[in-house]
Amino acid sequence: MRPAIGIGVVFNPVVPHFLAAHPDAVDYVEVIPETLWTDRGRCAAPRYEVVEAAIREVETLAERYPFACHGIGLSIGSASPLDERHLVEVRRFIDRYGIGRYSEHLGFTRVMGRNGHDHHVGLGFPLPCDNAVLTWMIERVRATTALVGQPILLENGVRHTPLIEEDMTEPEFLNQLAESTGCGVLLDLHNLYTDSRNNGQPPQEYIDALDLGAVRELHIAGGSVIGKAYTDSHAGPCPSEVWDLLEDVATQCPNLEGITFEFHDSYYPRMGQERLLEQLDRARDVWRAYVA
Amino acid sequence: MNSSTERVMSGGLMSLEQFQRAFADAVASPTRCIEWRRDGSALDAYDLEPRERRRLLAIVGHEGMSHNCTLYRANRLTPLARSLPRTCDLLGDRLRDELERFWEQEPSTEIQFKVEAERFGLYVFERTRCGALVDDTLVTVLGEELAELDTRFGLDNHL
Repeated sequence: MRPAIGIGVVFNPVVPHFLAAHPDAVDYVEVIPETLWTDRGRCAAPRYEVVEAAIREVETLAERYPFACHGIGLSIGSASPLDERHLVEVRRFIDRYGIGRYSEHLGFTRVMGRNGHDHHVGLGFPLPCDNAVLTWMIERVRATTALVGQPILLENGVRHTPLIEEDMTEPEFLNQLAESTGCGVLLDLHNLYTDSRNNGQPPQEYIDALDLGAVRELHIAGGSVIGKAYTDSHAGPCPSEVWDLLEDVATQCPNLEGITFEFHDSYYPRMGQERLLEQLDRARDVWRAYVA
Repeated sequence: MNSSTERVMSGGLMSLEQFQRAFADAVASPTRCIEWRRDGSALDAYDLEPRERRRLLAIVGHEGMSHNCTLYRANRLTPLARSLPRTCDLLGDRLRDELERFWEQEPSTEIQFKVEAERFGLYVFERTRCGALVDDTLVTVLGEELAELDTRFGLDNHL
């Protein structure tokens, strides 16, 4: 399969419909492998059931588009044994489609329950950026790299509640992880924007502290307000502040391979094809400036 | 090397594991957050380093914690609303109380919509079986929606 370079969109149930009408809107599709199976947990036998409808759609898309793989289920930051069986499934998916970019989230979504089953915690939580955690994560990332057969990319998450007394900042943590393991970074600009809206954390401060040479992919998206907080719900157009960040950051990332737009399929009826196309075209303008 | 590092380096990871468990427990229960704000000794139930204890108390005291709790609930409701919409409609005014009871009983969430919907389905069936929910239509509709879910996701396709 060709490398996933240029402009991409994260696969969801409406993407095939959109791409049937606008096949040239993207250069690649980013697939979340966990949407292709139902995982009944580490202790279940059999553990996985394929979702045939999703597999069929992905097979059709693979005839035209290269894929990137974006995981949401590994929970690499969980202080429980690395889920090697999960990575076997991810590796199978990667090998089947010749995928050259696999990303996951820096953080944890599971803890080991008292009965030995994984307890899903409901949302993505950040890791404390401490020296001891870094040492442990380096081994964890190396093990993951070996199992999937390529360097993983780690994505910055949202921090609704700051963690106090950390030994280093998150960009410093990512820099050291990248230097020690060869992993890359998936920099989610909308997550930075979300933190700036909720906690006043300046995105530029994060970007300035990050080794942008490690960034291989950028995510852009929109969000929505729930109560008093802004959320990374992917249920809105990309805010102007995120476009500004994208235009600024993209040109500073010498190893950038792709810019991916994320949207939730429930937002599609409100957004419509034309609005989605506008978002992708605007991202492509940034990409063209980057490669020029 | 500080004590926290030693514990991680020894492969124990007990402290980080306990920190993550406590964080998850707090997000799943706004009531627990309020209790911890009022009395930090409740954290004695977890084997935490002093720094992690301070972190957790700062977290539950931060205004963003209510957002974490809201997102937890939204993320748990979404799979049910999307997979079992008619069941949720039929529960109507009873839905809120039944969700609270279900979440209390099943604090572990699921990123897999099908698994979460099936767990809630079993919960509702059990509530009707023991007479806590009396609604024949509900049982019929729930059965139909779970069957539709099986069809949508495919059956017996084990990897």
